[in-house]
Amino acid sequence: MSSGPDLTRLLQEWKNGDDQAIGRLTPIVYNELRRLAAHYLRGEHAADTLQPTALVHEAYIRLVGQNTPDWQGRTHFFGVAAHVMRQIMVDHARRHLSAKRGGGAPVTAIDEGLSFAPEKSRDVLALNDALDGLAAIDPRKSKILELRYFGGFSVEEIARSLDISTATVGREQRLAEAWLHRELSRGES
Amino acid sequence: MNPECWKSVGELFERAVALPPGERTVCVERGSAGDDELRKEVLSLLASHKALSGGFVQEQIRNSVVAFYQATLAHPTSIGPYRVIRELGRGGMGVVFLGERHDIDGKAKVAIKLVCPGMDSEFILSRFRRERQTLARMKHPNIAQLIDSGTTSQGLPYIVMEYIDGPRLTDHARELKLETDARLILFLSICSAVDYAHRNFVIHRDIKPGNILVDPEGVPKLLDFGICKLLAESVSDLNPNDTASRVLMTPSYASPEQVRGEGVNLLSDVYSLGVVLYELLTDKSFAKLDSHAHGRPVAHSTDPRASMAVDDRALKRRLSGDLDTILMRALETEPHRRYESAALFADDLRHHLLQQPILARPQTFAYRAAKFLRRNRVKSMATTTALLMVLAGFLTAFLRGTGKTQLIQLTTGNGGNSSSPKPDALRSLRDSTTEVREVIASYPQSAPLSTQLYRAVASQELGDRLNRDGNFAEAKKAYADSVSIAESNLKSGQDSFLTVFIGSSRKLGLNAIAQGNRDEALGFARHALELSSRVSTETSQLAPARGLSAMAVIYAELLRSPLRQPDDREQAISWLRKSAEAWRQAESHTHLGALQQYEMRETEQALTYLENK
Repeated sequence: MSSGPDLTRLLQEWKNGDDQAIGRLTPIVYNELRRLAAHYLRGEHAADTLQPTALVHEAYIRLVGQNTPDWQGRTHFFGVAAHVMRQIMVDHARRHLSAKRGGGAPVTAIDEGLSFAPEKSRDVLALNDALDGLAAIDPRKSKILELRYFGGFSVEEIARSLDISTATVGREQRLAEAWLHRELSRGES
Repeated sequence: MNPECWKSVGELFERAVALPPGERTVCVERGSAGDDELRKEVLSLLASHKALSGGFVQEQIRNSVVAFYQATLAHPTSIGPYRVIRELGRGGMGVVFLGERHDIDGKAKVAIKLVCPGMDSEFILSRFRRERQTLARMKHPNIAQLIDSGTTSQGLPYIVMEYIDGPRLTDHARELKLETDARLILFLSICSAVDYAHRNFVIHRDIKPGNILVDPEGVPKLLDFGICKLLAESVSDLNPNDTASRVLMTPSYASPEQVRGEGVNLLSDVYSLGVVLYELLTDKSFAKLDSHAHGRPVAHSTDPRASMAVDDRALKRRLSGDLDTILMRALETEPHRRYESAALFADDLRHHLLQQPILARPQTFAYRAAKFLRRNRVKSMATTTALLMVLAGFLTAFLRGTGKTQLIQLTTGNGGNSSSPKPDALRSLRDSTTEVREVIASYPQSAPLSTQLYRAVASQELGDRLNRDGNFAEAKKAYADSVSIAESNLKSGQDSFLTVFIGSSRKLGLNAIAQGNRDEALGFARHALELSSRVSTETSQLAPARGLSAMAVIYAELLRSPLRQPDDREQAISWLRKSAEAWRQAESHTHLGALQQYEMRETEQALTYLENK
């Protein structure tokens, strides 16, 4: 079912600063991403071919439609998708780790399938913390990484969206990645 | 690191990284000009940059995302004590599995609804908890029952529902080629379920054939309260931009106001019931989805007359007339022109089945006479009071909804049970009187107007329950509370306060009669009359009519009580005449809603009854 008009409206509300809108967008965007992911993961080499950024592009076409010439709407959607993916993964990882730690019922093999492996949960949280750490000293660089890797933005799209030159995006991304890499390596050693 | 430093780090990094690798260290040594911290930071970033093969971050994120999807796409083999058999369906936020208990021989099948792994955000979880709490309160033969609920070891909440193994009501009727009357009777049980939900302060919001299944015993059941809305929200939330629900609902069956994203109330359910009835009677779908309109239904332009959709002569004849009229009423685009409740909708279908005049039709003399002749005789009315009290019940039935939801929000605002509740504990509701007392106690002292209204309604509700238990003294206190709260808010101009004020005053009077206090009873009625003649509300034209009927109710009740005095009958008739006259006047000045027309007609009928007795 196409939910075009509603989604467009939600995107608008989110853009206008309605914080509630993101909560409402989440299930729609996530369900679509998930559906597409399921499709990709069905194949034999599934895990290797699945590209999160491609999912976002496809989800956009399915949910909003490819005939929408509204470039801004598209940017917003990608921004939302990036945010949604990041937030959902972090929530899930956090809840999973705390369920493991929090005593209570042990995680039985029987529904282990439902969960994220703990080391993956930690990876996700480390990545999230590193992005948050970067955002604390340089929000724009953190945003660039989020848009690029969770949202599937091209360098040109990031440049337009943040109103900076593509060269600046390239430079900032280079530094941001170096920073992120260092932070993540620290955790490992 | 402060922004100034970070800026220097960035600049120096940029300068160095542009050079061939061999020259970078020198550049940094020079550029940092003795600032040791700056030098170390930039060198470490350069080292990191060098170690960073192309696409490292991208790969890192990709791996996490893929692992996440793989984990969350897997099916559980069991949930709590239930073995999962297969997936039944997937909705906006939850996934439903068919399951059965491990440890019980009966192997009864159940439907287990689980929050989708990965969808466990607070927003979703709170909705899910709400559905769980809503369902726990719902006990109706035509509503799929909550059996159990709990939390998986992963911390995901689930609910276990009665599994209805049967076809949709519409398919069932078509396959069995049921007669129209049989279809109507099946449909009435769904109206009853919806009305029950409304009286429990819940709007379903997604009534459609797919949510109405017929179990193997032939009993229709309403399912899926996933996007239900508690009534108070729709009342207190004057601008409910509930977009998520707008997206979650099913456009073909949603009311025009739902599709437009406007406020949803119980009239939206009435509309959806109308669509279901249309499809049930015609075996045709009501709204055709227009693919060019992004899934928006073009329902509003569809002719709601069922007779126009069928070719069979006999069926066309059967549907034309009353049933067309009833459908037109239920499917009005403007909510206020629809039946004002599922109960009134059902009443009209019952009228039709019993060949009595329906409400939806303009009450022309010819029509009434035709109906009268068709019936063997006019159904005798038990007593005038009983008749009028039905009316009093209607008056507050809608308002009552507003009170209780507030309670639900207040008592469940603490997030509900985090540990998995025992099924039996969840199912056994507390003693109802205690519950209502708790509601009232939970209202803040200095409350906004809407809360004052809830308090007044809840107090009246408490009085009703105490009265029913024979606890007249306590009931009197509760009614008096309700009267005084409503009375002190009459100046707000909200019609609802007047309605509650009159309703509770009447009940206070009846309560006094039950306790043998004739004068006190009349005192309450006179007080109500006096105030209602002075009050000015949104619909103040109706106030005198209602005040006068309060007097009539008390005299009518006195008439059949041991406190009876010789001229009570004359008094009752006289006040009913005045009330009927006031209704007629109000009618000439303002458009009366269905409920008000009903009130007016009941007053007239009570008068006719007393006059001819």
